Amino acid sequence: MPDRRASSRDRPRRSRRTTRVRLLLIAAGTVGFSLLGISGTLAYFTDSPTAVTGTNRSGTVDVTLAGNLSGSANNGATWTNASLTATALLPGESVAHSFAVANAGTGALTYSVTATGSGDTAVTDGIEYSVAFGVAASNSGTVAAANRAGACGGVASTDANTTPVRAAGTSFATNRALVVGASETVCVVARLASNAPGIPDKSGSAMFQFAAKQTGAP
Amino acid sequence: MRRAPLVVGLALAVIVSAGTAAYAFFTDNAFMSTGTSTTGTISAQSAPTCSTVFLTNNIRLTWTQVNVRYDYAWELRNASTSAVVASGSVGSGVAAGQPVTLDITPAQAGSNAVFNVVIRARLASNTAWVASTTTSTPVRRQTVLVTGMYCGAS
Repeated sequence: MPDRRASSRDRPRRSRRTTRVRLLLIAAGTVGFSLLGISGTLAYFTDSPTAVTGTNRSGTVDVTLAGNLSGSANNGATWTNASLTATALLPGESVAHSFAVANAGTGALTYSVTATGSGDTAVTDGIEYSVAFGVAASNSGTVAAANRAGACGGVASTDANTTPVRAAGTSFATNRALVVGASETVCVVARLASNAPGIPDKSGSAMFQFAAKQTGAP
Repeated sequence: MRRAPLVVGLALAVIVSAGTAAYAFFTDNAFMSTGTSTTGTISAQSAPTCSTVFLTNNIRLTWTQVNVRYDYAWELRNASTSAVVASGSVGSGVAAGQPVTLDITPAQAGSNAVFNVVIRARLASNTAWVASTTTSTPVRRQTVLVTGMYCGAS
C-alpha cells in the first residue's frame, strides 16, 4: 500500500491550491452579494431623452393625444377632451369623439389604455364608456331633444357595448403597437346607461391613461 | 477539492439569474380627462288647462309635451282624503310642443266629490327619472240632471 499521506513536500502545494480556491469563492461571493443587492433595484426611466444605465438603447418614448402632451415635460400630464364632456345626459344618451394617438418619440412603442371614474356618475349603470380603434366618431341628436347618440365607426353605442368605469379602473386595451411617427384613431364613447338609477343633476368624470413603453419592454 | 469549480459555477449562475431582474426601459404616460359630465333633469310640464268634452260627461286636461321622451304619470286623488281613486300615464310618443291630453270620466272618480288631478313628468323609458315638481288641477264629480265631471273645485 502506498502511503497516501501527503509528504512534507506536498503540503505547501496543497495549501497554495486551497488558498486560491478560497480566494475564488470569496471573490465570487462578494460579487454575488453585490449583484444580488442590485437585483432588487428596478430603474424606470420616464420619457427621458437619454439612457443613464441599465440599457444600451437611447431615445425617447413619447405618446401624444390629438397632438397634445408631446415632449418629456408632458410625461404624466393631462389633456382634457372637452368633446367628451357631456351635459344634461339622460339615460341612453351618449357622446363620442375620436382623436389621434401618435408616437412622437424616436423609438417604437406599445401603449395600453385604462380608465378610472370618479363622482356620482361613476356608479353601477352610471356613465359608461367604450373605446374603439381605427374608426371615427359620429354624433347625432341634441340636448334639447334629449336624444344625443354617439357612435364609433357607425356602430351605435348601447348598454351592451359600453363598460362601467369606476374608481377601481377598467382596462380597454393592452400593448397596441405604434412605430415611430405612426398614429391611429381612437374613438371613445361616453354614455349614460339606459337603466341608470334616478340620479338627476349629478356629475362625474373619467380619466383615461395611455401608458406607453418602448417596444420589447416587459 | 475538484468540487470547487462546480461551486464557483453555481455561485455565478445564481448571480447571473439574480441579476436579470435589473432592467430599465422608457415609458410615457399621457392622460385624457373627459371633463366633468353631468346628468340632466326632468322638466315639469306647464299647468294643464281644463275643459269639458263636448257631448260627453268628461273633462279634458291639456298641456304641452316637453320632450318626446317624456310621458306623464297622473293620479286622481280625493281632495279630502288624498286617496288615489284612479291613475295612469299619458303622452308617450307625443312630439315635443304638441298637446298632451288626459280625459277623466265620472266612472274613474267613482263618487261625487272634489278631486285633484296630480300630474308628474317622467322619462318614458326609465320611469325612475321624474320631475321634481308636479301640477295639481282641481276637478269635481257632480250630479246635475246627469252625473258628470267638471273643472274646478266648485
